Amino acid sequence: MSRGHAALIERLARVVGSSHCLSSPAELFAYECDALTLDAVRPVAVVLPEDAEQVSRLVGVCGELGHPFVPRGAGTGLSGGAHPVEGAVVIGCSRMRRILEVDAENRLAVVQPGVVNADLSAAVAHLGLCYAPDPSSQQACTIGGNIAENSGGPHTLKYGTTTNHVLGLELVLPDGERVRLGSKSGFAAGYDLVGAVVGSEGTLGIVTEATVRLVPLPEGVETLLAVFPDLQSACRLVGRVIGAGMIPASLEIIDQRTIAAVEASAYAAGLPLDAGAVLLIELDGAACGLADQVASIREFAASEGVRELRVARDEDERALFWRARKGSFGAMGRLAPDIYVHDAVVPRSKLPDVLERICQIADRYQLQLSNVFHAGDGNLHPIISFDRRSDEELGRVVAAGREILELCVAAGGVLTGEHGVGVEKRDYMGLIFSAADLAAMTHLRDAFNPTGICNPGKLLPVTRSCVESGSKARARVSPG
Amino acid sequence: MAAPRPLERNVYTQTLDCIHCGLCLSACPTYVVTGRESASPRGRVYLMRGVAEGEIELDPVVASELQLCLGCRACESACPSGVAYGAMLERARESVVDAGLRRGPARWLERWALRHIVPHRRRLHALASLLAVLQRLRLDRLVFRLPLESLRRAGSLLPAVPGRLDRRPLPAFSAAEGERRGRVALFEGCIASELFAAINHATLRVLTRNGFDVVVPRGQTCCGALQAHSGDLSFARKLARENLVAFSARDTAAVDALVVNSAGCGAALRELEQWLPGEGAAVAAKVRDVCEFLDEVGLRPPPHRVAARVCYDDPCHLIHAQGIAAAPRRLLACIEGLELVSHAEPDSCCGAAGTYNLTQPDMSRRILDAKITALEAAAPDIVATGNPGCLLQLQAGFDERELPIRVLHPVELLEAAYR
Amino acid sequence: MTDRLSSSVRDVLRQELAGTLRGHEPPLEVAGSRLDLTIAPDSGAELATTLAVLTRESVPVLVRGGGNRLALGNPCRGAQVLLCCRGLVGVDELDAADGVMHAAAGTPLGELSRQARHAGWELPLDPPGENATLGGALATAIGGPRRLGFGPTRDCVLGLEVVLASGERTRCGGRVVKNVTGYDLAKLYVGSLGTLGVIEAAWLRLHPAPRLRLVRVAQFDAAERAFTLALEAARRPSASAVAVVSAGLAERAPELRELHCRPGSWMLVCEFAGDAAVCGADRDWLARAGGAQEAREESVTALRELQTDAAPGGLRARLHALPSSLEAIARHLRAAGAELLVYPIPGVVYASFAPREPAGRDHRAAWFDAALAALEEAKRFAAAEFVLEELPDSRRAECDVFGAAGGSLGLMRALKRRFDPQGLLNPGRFVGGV
Repeated sequence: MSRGHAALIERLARVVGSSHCLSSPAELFAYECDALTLDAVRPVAVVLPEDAEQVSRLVGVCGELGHPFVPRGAGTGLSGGAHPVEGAVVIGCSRMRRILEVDAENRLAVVQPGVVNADLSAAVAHLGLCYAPDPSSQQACTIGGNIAENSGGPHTLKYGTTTNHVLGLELVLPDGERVRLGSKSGFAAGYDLVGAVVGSEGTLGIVTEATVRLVPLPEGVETLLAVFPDLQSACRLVGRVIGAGMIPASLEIIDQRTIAAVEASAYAAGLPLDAGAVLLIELDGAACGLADQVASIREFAASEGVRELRVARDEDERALFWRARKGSFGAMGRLAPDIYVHDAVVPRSKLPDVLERICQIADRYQLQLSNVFHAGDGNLHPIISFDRRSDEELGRVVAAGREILELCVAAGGVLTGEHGVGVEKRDYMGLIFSAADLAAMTHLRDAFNPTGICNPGKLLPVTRSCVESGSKARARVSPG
Repeated sequence: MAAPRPLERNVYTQTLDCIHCGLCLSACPTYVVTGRESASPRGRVYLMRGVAEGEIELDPVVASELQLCLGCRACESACPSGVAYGAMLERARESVVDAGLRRGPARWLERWALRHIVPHRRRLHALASLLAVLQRLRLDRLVFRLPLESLRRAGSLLPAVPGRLDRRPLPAFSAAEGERRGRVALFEGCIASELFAAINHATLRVLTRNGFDVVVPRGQTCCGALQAHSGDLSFARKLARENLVAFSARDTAAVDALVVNSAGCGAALRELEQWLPGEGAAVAAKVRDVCEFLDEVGLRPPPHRVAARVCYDDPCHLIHAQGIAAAPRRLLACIEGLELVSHAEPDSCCGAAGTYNLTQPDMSRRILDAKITALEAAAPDIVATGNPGCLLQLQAGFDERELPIRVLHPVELLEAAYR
Repeated sequence: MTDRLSSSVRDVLRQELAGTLRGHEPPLEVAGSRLDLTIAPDSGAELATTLAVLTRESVPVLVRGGGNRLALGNPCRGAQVLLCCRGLVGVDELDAADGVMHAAAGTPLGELSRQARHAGWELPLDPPGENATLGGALATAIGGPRRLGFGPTRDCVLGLEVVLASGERTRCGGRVVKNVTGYDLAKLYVGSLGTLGVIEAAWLRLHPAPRLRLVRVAQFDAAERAFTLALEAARRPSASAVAVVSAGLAERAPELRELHCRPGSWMLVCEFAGDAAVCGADRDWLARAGGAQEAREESVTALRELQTDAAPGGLRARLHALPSSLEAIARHLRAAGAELLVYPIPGVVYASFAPREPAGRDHRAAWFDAALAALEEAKRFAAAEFVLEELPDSRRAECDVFGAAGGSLGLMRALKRRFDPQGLLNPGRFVGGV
């Protein structure tokens, strides 16, 4: 136990019980980062409350003893939103995993924040319903974490992101007060505080209960895989589809570098290695409307020079198509100990140009990079494989990352489409926002979190207008 | 040069395969129960890495988080990066033992039993006979007075020992019935061959009924999985070598497959290469789970009806370690009258996990409770599962709640349909 | 704060904001305020200067777009200047490939719709009011009949440019369709009735223009049947607008009157839009369920104006409730004498009560108290929330039209304090006097 924090730990343990208050070096070590491994800080304690009352009391203890606290879901975030700061207490929601109510008639569910995204969909599937936002980590990530990050996923093109699916919240404010925002009907008089809290990266309080919308499972689904000789024509097909007024459930592009990595891994899906890009199209909705759409896409694809267009015949083939898409992060992960996933968004029409230049940047920095992305949204995910044990390599990763972001911003884009700003991109906020813009954002944070005790150091630059420093990784000593 | 840190030589490189994405978390039974990152696969890999890098000590907390792992390997199914978690865990546990972090009478007894009773067929047979006598005299209840929790739990798990006739050794050779389709070797197992003697006999009969000659090579022994999971890798390697010799003998090497009816043993034998690098590959390549094998060659339609509602529950070492989920279900669906009903999370661990239910009784109990609740909701007559540990654990769970549900190996149901 | 603008301040404003300013003598009486001046900037920079000067001089303002919904909200307390945003006009970008557009806040929605349609897209906003502006539509965030297909107002807002009370020009969001860069301040501004800042321009996400629109109506004597079918219809894949209207209200719109609604019955109006095959399937489904009467598209747009229809001197409320409770609410309010327009999804009821007796200056109208009591009763038994949209001026002073804001009022006040420390933007108009 860290000796200086004995009093804190004793007070916290009194709230949750000693078995749910972690303070040994090994236990704390496991909480020093989330899925972003560029940076790491060990917390002084980790507490695992089971209800809102306990969260409120824990927050009170932190406030009283002057310790910042950091909310955490499953720690699958890619921007470091759940990274502790010096002296922080991590409040984990992993034990608050009950589905409190399912109202099939009104198509909504009330859940605790630790409910796993995919578990909610599984629990309502027998009612013909699902929870629509489906981040790629849905098998593990929690609804609370999704709310903090306003998570998206491959199907947001049609169904929207988390913010479109949250009706009401219970929030423990940084001073320990519990407030209810929104309502089951989605309406609440006054400012749209639910809208403000969703995507606030856990800096406005801790969500202890959420009322979320459920949507009907689609009647029909068609999944198509279009193989193109080059990335440009794949992007053009995306433009044609969108331009024709179709809203597919997803439009995902896998570039040649990713295909190579995936096909060399356990996730090989039989994609041709000489293809310039593969476009995965999923259409869903009323079954009677799908045939026409498939026919139009066939026609567009042919005129854009598609090499091969496969339509999944059954669930197995559909799963095979998605295999390469879903396996791409893991496949890139096998190339080196760490991966760094970017998340910039650019206007769809700028995709081909921006992608080409991103690859040039990676080549210049001699980094292994691949692109697999939500083309329909213009949401890029350049993945860099690297080894954080080499400071020199890490430096190149950070420098290339910055160039990639600058490039995307110059193209009219933004820093992040679904992963959040966190610690990773907070110092790049000045690339797109002025001091006045950031001051307005600070007004919001300060209205909820005036003392800054709640998840400090995230989302907003630590000192205004600083664009100087990128993320700094803790130097690690490699053995041997 | 300084001495290597613990885990540095044997585990470290593999820990780097983990990209820390966290997709394994919700698949991990101990994480689901505790909510602790350090009790999750990602957390444990991170602890191993931290120890190897010198960031943290290999201390009792690290040891206990590693011990708390069931080794169910559900995380491997969830992992996008193909992290070889099971293999890392075995090695890390060996280091925990080497570091003197597992001591005490329970540990001593476990190690002694795994080394000196379990792999010895005659000693096991004698012990089973003694137990049978005790059970007949109702003296087995005395076990509940013993000072060790793990022994008390063991006592509560034990089924009635089958009669001496059932526990007779399997014939060295049994001829195929009907048109001959091939020749297979059968792996007998250790404790199961006594306590679940009927399963081995059923396996033999189902294989011969399906047209296969069956040889049971002498000299085979325990697969070593239990020893490896408990951190006794060196002894596991010794057993593996004995098996390698037994199954490499000339007459045995020629078989179409080495059929195993215990998921745990099958997983261990499939990974023989890991324990005996460069040697085990040939034998490992022949290993087939009995359901997988029958499904592959095509089951001869069983002639009789078995009217029962059956839930199939996936043994972790079959679904996660060997990737087999559809085959047993397909086989059961071939039995006329048998109604296959689904239940929630059939792929989650039951908490048996080798000796886990003895060494971690509390956690095992909590995991079992969830499993029994899920199965009870489906209201089956029979639960089918292909691993001895799961058979014991689930039956004990049903008996405790006084539920009239029997737990059987899928081959026992197949055999009934051929009888 | 004095009631009237002092002549010295007036002079300062005239001096610094020449060209966009017009005096009123006697003062203009709007939404509870007596306004001495109208300032109408015609660029974002002018808007910024205006607000900076007004803040420096501590002059409270009433912000106006199209002027349709000035009755919405509580009376504006003590505003002295009317800030008219209709001069900020123009679409400076419409990306037909991406389906996004950037427009100034004073641009009329009709103009935006026209341009969107021209490019093959549809503007997903249809609030009531003929000359509604973009800024006004966003600040009030009140949907129309096609809210079902369009989604809530906030969903089409990708980014905003907002001038804060201090005169600082700020941006949030952006032009891309998916964005979590920074706090989602646009959510706060949308629906804030101009109390946090003045919207200067917005990036909007357009919807694909539907290939086909089909309108069908049906009449039911039993509320149960009407509401059950309405909810089912609203959940059909191509449903773009679904409403249930009480006969008395339907009579008030010529486009619906021509469909001959039986007295005492309920009229169900359904619009299906999009893909021809899907619309056709939904139309056939409705026909089988008893809704085969064809109608013009205008019967849907007519609903929009019925939302703001009210008898002179009457009371109109907007209730929000769960879809499953709408039938009970409708029966209850109908029994209390209200005419109703109901959108089953997202669960909105417009209830309008006509005055039943002459309201004397000094005696309280019993009908009003009864109507209010009926609304309160609905709130209680159906967990509904309601906002009074129209009520006799004599009653405005005595109630908060938004009802009680509950536990989150403290947060709202804190927000207001930080965005508009002097409380100059639309003072008192919003929830709890914010």
